[in-house]
Amino acid sequence: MTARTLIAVAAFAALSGWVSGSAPAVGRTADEEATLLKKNSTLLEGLLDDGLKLSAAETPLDRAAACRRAADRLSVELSAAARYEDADRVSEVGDLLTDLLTDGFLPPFTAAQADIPPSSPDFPRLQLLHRESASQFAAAVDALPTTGSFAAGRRVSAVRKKLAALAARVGTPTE
Amino acid sequence: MKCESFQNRLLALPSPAAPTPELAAHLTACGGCRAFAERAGNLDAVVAALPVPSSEVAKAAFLDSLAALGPVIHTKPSILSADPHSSTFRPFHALARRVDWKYAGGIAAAFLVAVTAWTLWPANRPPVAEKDGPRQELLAKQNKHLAALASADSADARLRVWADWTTDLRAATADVYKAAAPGDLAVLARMFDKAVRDGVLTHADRLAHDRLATGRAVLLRDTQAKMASAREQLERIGKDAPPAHKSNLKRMADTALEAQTKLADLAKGV
Repeated sequence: MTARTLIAVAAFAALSGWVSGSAPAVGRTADEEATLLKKNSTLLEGLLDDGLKLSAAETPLDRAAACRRAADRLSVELSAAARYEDADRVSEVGDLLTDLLTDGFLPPFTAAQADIPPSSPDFPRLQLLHRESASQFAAAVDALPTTGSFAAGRRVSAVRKKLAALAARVGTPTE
Repeated sequence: MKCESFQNRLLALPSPAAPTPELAAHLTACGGCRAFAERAGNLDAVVAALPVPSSEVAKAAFLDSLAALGPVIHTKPSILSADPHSSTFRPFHALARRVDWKYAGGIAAAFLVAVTAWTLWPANRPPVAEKDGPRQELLAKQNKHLAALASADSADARLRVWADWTTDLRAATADVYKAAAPGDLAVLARMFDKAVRDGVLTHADRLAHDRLATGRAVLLRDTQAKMASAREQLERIGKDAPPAHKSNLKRMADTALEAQTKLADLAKGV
């Protein structure tokens, strides 16, 4: 085996490694973008309306309530995806929902819980929001099946775990 | 017996001069074959009389002809040294010589068969990693804007979110306008209108009237610049857009221009 052969083998191995390790192209064509737009147009428009309502809410309680309604729109989409056993959609919408609940709902809700004492006239609204949220979170978790190959998929079970953790974090309201 | 058959059988004999009785009968009756047998006998006699060269002489002549071509081996073979400092030390050569390639080939073939079987045998396959399907960037960005609005407790914070939201809508339009159905592009145009009028301009107006807010003029001018940039891009792509999309793109560009003008007025007033 000559040095030339060794160099050729090493170069081939390096090239193979580089090719197999390269990330796939992420760019999408206009056709693919158009397909995604068609699929999501209703959801996109609804979420924008939710955003307008959210930006009109002044107090943390109002913002948490508005954010919960936006999350409700995603929950409906998640349930539909679970019914059709569309793991891609469950994963996508599940991630959106958990992000919105974690980064959007929980901060103003936690602030409202800290700011509104039981004697406040807003306290019943806070309790109602808490009940609605707990119910919504539980429904979102229940929408995802627990048995069967679809439920056993890594992405579906990951979404269910994240939602269950969020539901546990919000807890149930004390009367 | 035909003459051709006679002549073939005659040539197959050890000597044409001693034909079999059957051939002799034909020879007696056929003048042509008699003449053929006579020529064959003469040829045998001539060949037998040819001189045979000495084998020793022929061998010497052959070796001389080889030597006349010059040396065949031009380099002197060297014996491999185990000394790493030696110029003849070649570890890969030494390894290659030590390996019994017959067994190495067998092991490689067995490994290939094992890998192929492992790959094709469904029961032993590990679970295939699930890949995510295509996700729309605009949807993810809108979700982030919603989360940001939930924590935005001032007009300037909301204005920033809505300015970014309109930028994302404009970018999504530029990505898709060549392939989208007119109805779907109309959705984007409608959303852009709402985001600009009810989002950007509403909160820009509130900010302009909030005397306690700091940096109002700068933020209003920054937002105005974003609207100007949006208008320019929408006008540009509108020129080469399919005819069915031109009205939606013009509507978006007009909205951006209107916002640009109002933001400039608001910035002047603070």
